[in-house]
Amino acid sequence: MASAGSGDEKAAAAAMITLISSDNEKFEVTEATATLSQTIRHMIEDGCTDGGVPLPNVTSKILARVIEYCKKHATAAAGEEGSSSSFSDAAFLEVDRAFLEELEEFDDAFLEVDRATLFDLILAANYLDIKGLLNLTCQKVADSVKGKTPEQIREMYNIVNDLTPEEEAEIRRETQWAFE
Amino acid sequence: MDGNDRLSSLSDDLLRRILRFAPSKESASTSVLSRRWRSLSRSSGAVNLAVEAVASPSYTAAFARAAKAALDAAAEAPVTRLTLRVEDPRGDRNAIHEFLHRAGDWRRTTDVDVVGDLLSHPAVQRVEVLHLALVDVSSPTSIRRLCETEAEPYRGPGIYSLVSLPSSETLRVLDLTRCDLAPSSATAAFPRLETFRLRLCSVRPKDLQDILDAAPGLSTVHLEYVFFTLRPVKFSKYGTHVARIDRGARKTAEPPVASLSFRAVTTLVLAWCGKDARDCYGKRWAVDIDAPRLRSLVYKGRLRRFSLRSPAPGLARVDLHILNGQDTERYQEDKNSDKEVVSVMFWQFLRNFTNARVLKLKVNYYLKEIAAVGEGSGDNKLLCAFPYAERLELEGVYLPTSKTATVAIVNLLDCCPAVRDLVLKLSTITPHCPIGSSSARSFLARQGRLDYSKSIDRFTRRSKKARNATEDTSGGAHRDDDVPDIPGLSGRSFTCLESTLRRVSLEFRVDDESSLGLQLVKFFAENAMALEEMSVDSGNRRMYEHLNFINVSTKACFEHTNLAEGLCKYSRIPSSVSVDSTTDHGVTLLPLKRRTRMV
Repeated sequence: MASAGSGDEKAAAAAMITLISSDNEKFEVTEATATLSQTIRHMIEDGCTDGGVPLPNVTSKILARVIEYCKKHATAAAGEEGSSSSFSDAAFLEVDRAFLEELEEFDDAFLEVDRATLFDLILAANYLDIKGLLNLTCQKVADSVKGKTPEQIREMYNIVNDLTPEEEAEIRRETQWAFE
Repeated sequence: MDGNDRLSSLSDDLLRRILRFAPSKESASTSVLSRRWRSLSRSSGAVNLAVEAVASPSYTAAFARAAKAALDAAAEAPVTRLTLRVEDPRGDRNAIHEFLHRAGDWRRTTDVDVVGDLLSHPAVQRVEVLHLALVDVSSPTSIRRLCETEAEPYRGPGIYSLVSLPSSETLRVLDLTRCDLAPSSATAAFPRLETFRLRLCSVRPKDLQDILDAAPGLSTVHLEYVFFTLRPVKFSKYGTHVARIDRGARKTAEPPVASLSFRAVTTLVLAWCGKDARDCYGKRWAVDIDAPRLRSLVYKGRLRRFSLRSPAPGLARVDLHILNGQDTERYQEDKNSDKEVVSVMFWQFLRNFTNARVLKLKVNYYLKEIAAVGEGSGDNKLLCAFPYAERLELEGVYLPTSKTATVAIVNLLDCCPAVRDLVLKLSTITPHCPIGSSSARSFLARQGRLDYSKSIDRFTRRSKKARNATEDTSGGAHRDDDVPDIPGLSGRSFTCLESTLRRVSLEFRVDDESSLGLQLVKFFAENAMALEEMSVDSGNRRMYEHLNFINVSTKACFEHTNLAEGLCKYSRIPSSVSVDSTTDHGVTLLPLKRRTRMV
């Protein structure tokens, strides 16, 4: 509790980036947090982040969640950077990178969202190019089809079957091993 | 339901990515969902096989057929991700072994190698991510029990012996659970290997080294429950070990050393590793590591001889969880020649990490055992400085009667002159009882509640007196006489207290009037000149009565009025200051409103 708060305080000293959601809400984040997104990293490298980074594809609700994820994972990424200068105070104290279990717990809790939010997170992670978040969210969707029949998956995700019965029979023959 | 339909709105690329994580069976079955889905799974580039082990040859044969079919079907895009998870819900490791090695039907069974066949399939020859997990479902519980009883297992845990790895050219991630690495498995080079994780495997250091040497770009290595075969083990024909050395030789023998070189590795986790104890050296062994580029180290296990062969200047984060197992080891050594008392071994261990910026120490010992005591004597040569340490975390146990526990804290404060954040988690439960176990926790919670009601009771009786005390403080200075000073700590000066220490977090249980935790709260409040924030979790909410806090609302504010004289007062927090103190058993003193130093 205390360390999370202190991380924010410390962050004020580090370089800050302003992210602007589609509904025009502004989010101040540290560079270390923002650069978990390859998209933003490239923008920073190109020097076009002055005046804020507009993210027209991401709503404030989703952006807040994405930032929450990035903050938690920021240090892990900083560690992999390979340069000792990335050990800025803020990033350094924010998360204890060694505590991978804690990170896993965070991820589990983070994914406790409804399906619509999950898809929004996938789209945001893809757009912002945050590999860890993209894999995490895709894994969650993949887990949801575990043990399900095609009929159940169709129902779960409102997928309309536009195959003719002959086509479907043919595919089932080709992939018979999957239906045994 | 509008939201549920959104899966179809994702691009093909995203759907393929999702399918990369799905079990192969479900993934393949999505090809009948609709026209669009028809070929997605075949081009997802991943095959994820999960199966419950049933020791039946016909079941194995069916699985092997399906696995081959899955790989054959994935021919449209090269398989870059292959996972195999064999689970045995009944906790019988033989079932997994049988499942992997016997196939056939009611007429005839033959020896097979399910894993080997899988890995040699042409479709996986360009695999980048390989996970092989043989999971005996009983293991999590038994592993937890091993941790709690703090005994390192010593029997080789591997179920399958991995002889060869596919696609060494493309492999980026290799993650093996309960697969032993056979000596010949690392004949190839692994130019792209980045992450290597071994769990519940036994391996000879030499064979592991062969892989490490063949992977110049390897940056992350996790070795969890890895058992090193350090010396050849001889077996009699009855299967019992026959290696015996006479008692004399055993006394003088150095413990065997697991010597490993991690050239490019930046993150290393060594957790609960052990050694094959079938030789005569019992559980004694030493670790010798060469990792010049290491930045983050996690070590969990017993206190043992640990050395970094070459300096690791970038080693910034060190996380040690030291188990209490020294007694057993010492018992096996000659008492006379054994100078390796706990504190000596502890400090020799720490000496490797003098570059650390973050030092996290969790010791399942009484703190007095790691204290380097004895002023002026040779003992204090043990101490070493951590000039860059910014964050120090110490979790340990102390005996309420012990005066030496503080010495360990003094030692560490002495050694970390630049520390900004200090976290102390102290408890008085015996280190031999499983600290993490739920029973211990519920006991603590129960105690906490009892203490709390007693505390409230006392608080109501004392509140009048407390109010008087507060009025005194408004005069400028008030020394809290309820809490005695700490022997060994008070009156000492520490560099970090003078200038760098900004945040202190204390977690302890208030057990008696002379509680170490309360003394520390007082000590840091009075002596840490640059303190901005102190959070205190006293476990049972009894600290108000000791510190004369007026407010039961768990909010209080410290004001340094005259720091030069080391005096402080406690006063009611202004209602305008919002304090995040939602926990029901802690108090956060936040922020410390500092006035400019007026002389």
